[in-house]
Amino acid sequence: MRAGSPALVLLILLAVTAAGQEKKASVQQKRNEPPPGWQVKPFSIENPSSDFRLALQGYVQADFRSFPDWPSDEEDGGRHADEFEWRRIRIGIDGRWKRLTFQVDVNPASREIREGKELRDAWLGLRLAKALQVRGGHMKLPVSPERLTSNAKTDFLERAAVVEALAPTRDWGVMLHGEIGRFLEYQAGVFEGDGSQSPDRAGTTAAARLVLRPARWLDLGGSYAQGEVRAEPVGGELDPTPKGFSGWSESGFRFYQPVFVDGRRLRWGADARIQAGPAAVWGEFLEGREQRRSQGPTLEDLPELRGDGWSLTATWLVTGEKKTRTIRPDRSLFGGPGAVEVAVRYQELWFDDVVDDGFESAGSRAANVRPAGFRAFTGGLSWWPSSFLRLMGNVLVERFDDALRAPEPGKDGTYVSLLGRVQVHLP
Amino acid sequence: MRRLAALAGLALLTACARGTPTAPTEAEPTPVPSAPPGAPIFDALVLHEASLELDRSAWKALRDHYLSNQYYAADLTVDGVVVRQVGIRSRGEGSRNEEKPGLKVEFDKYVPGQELYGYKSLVVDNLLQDASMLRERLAFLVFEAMGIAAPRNAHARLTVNGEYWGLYALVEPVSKPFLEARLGEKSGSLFDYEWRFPYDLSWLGPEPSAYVPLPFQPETNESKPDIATGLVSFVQAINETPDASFVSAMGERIDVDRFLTYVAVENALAEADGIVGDFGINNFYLYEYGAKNRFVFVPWDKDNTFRAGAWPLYRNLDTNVLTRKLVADPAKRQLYADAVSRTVDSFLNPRWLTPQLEIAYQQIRSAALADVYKPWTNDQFEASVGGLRGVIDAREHDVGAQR
Repeated sequence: MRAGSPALVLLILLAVTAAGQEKKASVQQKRNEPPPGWQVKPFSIENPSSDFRLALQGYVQADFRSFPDWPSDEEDGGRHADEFEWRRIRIGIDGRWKRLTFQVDVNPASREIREGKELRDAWLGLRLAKALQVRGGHMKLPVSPERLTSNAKTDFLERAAVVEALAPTRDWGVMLHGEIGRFLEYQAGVFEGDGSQSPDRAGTTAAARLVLRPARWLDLGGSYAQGEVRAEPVGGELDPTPKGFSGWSESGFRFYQPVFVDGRRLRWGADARIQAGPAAVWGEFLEGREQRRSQGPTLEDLPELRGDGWSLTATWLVTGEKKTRTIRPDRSLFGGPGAVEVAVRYQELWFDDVVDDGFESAGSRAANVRPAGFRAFTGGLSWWPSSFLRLMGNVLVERFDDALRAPEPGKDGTYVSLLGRVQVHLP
Repeated sequence: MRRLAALAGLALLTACARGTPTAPTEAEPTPVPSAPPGAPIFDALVLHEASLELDRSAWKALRDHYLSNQYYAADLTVDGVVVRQVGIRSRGEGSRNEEKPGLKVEFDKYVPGQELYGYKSLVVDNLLQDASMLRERLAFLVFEAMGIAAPRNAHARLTVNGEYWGLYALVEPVSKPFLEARLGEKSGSLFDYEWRFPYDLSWLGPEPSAYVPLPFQPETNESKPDIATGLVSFVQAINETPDASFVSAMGERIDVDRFLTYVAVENALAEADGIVGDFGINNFYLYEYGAKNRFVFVPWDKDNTFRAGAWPLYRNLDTNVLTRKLVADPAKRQLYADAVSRTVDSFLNPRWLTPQLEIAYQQIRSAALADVYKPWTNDQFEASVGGLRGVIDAREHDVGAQR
C-alpha cells in the first residue's frame, strides 16, 4: 500500500475522533439517551444487564524505513531506497452476547507478499464453559505467541523473522479452546489450510497450542501443526510456483527463496515468558519441516527441507505501567509523559535440508539445498502519548550467513535499517 | 546444534526466572558505430573456456525437459571468473535441443543483484542451426561494420560437471547494458520480437494486447501500464500514413536510412529469417527510446544467413508493410540498393570477411571437431565452412550483376 489519501483521511479522522471522544463521551451519552441498561461509549455499545457488547476496533499504521547500509538499485524499482508506506488500515467490529462472541475485521490495504489481502478475522465463538469454548470461522492458527499477538500490539514494528517464515497465518476452521484452572490454557483446531491467502497454502491442517502457567509470572508454551502440501502439477501452461517456506529478514529482504515441496508440512514450537510488573522477557523457538516427494529435477524424492529459528526479547516500560498486551499510559501526554517502553531482541533463522551431499544449490529443485541463515539484533522504543496513539522507532542490525545472498552479493557484514511508525488506534 | 542451543536458551530463561555515454538528441539517436571494448567474455579474439557445475540430476532434467523453462542453480565459470548460484534454463525456438541444449543464464535468478560485467543474463548459444557454427558471428560483424549496433558474441568451449559438452557461443544479451553502451540510453522500452505467426506489421487494431506481450515481448519497463502505447501508434502510422507522406512520417519514428541499411545488410547476407524473411518479420529487438516515441531495430539470431551466393537484390521487400512502403519511394529504393552494394563492396567479400572467417575457423576448429553433441558430422562442419567461403566469394559479384 503506497501513499493514499483515504488512509490519510482515516488516520486523521481516527485521531481527531478519538481525542474528541475522550472529552465528549458523557455529552454524547446524554444526547443519545439510550434505553435503561444500555451504555453508549465512544466506540462501543453495551448492555451489561443482557450481557451484550458491540465494539468498533481498528487502527492505522504509517511506516517509514531507511536503509543506510544497503545498496539501492534504482533500476529495480528503488529496492531498499528510503520509503514511506501506509502499512496497515485495519477496521472491524467485535461483540459478545451472552455465550456468543464474534469478531470481523478487514485490512483493505496491506502489503500483499507477507500478509495476504483483505480478510482478517471473521469468526463466531460459543462459550460453553471457561474450560470449553468453540470458535469457527476465519482466524489465526494457534501456533506462535507472537503470531497470535495483534500487529498493533507487537513489541517491534515487525514480528520476528522466524514467526513470519514458519508460523501459519489465518485460515478457515473450527477450534476448541479454554482455560483449565489458572494453570493451563489450550487451543486445538482443524483448519482448511494454514494460510487462506497464502500462495503456499497447505491442505487440511491440524494445529494445537498448550500454555502452562506454573506461576503468575511465568508462561510456558508449546505448539504443533501439521498439514499436507500439494505441489502444483508440472507441465501446465504456466510454470508451477514453489510452495516451500520463504525466508525474509526483518527489514524485508528475502535471503532464502522457496523450493518445491510436496507432502507433510510440520511445525512445532516452544516458548516461555517471564513477566514482572513493567518488565518482560520472552523467547520463542520454531521449527518447520516440509517433505519434497517427487520434487527432484527428475521427479525423484528429495530430502526434507528444514527451517529453524528463535528469538529472545526483553522489554521494560520505563514509565512504570504494567506490561500487558494493551498498554494504557498511567498519565497521558497532557498530564504526564505517556508510556515509554524500551525493547531489545536477538533472533536467528536458517534453512537447510537434512542431508549434505552433492552440489549445494539455491535452486528450487535442489537435491542439496544451499543453507541460508539470518541473524539480527533489534533495538526498539515505543511511546504511547495517549491510549490511542503509539509512536515507534526500531534499529535493526542484520547479518546474513550466506554472503552471496546478502543484500549486496558477496558483502559479508552487517546491514543497518531504521524503521519508524505512527500508529493511531481506537482505544 | 543451533536448535539445541536455542532450546537451552529457552530453558535457561525459564530456569533463571525472572560509465556514461551521451543520450540521443531529439534530432537523431546515434548508435555507436562499432562495438566498444567491454566485457571480456565477448572478446572474439579468444576461444573462451566456460564451465558449469550443478547437480547431475538437474542437468539431466534440463535436457530431458528441454522444452521447459524451468531454471536450475549452477556455478558458472568463464575464463576463471566464477559466478555462483546462477539460474540456467533451456532456451531457443527451433534450436531447443535435448542433447546439446542452448542455455539462458540469469545471474540474479537466485542471488538478487548479482551481475557479470554489468549484465544480468547471458545467452549460451548451442549453434545448432548452423553447421559451420560461424554464421552469426560473421553476420554480426557485417552489421557492425555497416553501422548497425549488433550484439557481440564469441565462441566458447563449454564443460558441464567436468565433461566437455561442445562448442557454444557466448552472446551479449540485448538488455540495458547493451542499450546504454550502443544506443546511448536505456530508459526506454525494449521489445523482443517473438515469432508466433507470420506477421507483416499490418494493423491489428488499437488494442495493446494484440501486440504486447506477443509478438512484442517487453524486456524493459515491463510493469509500465502504457508500455504498448508508442508501439501501437507506430504500427498505426505504418499502416495509415498515406504513401505520399510516408517517408517523412516514418522519419519521425525511425532513422529511415539506418533502417533501410539494416534491411540491406540482411539481403546482402542472404538471410531468410529476418525482417524481410520468408516467414514474416523475425529475429530482431525493437527499442523505443525513452520519452521520444522513436524506435530502432536491433538484429538478433543471425544463424540463418549466408544461405546462397545468388540472392535477389530486392528480395522480400514487399513482405511487410514498412519496407514495402519505404522502398516505394524511388530515392529510398535507391538508398537501399546502394546500401546492399556498399555492404558487399566494403565488407561482405573475400578481402574483408574471408580473413575474419579464417581466423574464427582456426580458432574453433578443434573444439568443433571434438563436439560430439552437435547434430552434424565433422565432414558436414567442414563442408559448411567451405560453403560459407563460397557464399562470401559470390556475393559481391552477384549484387553487382543485379545493379
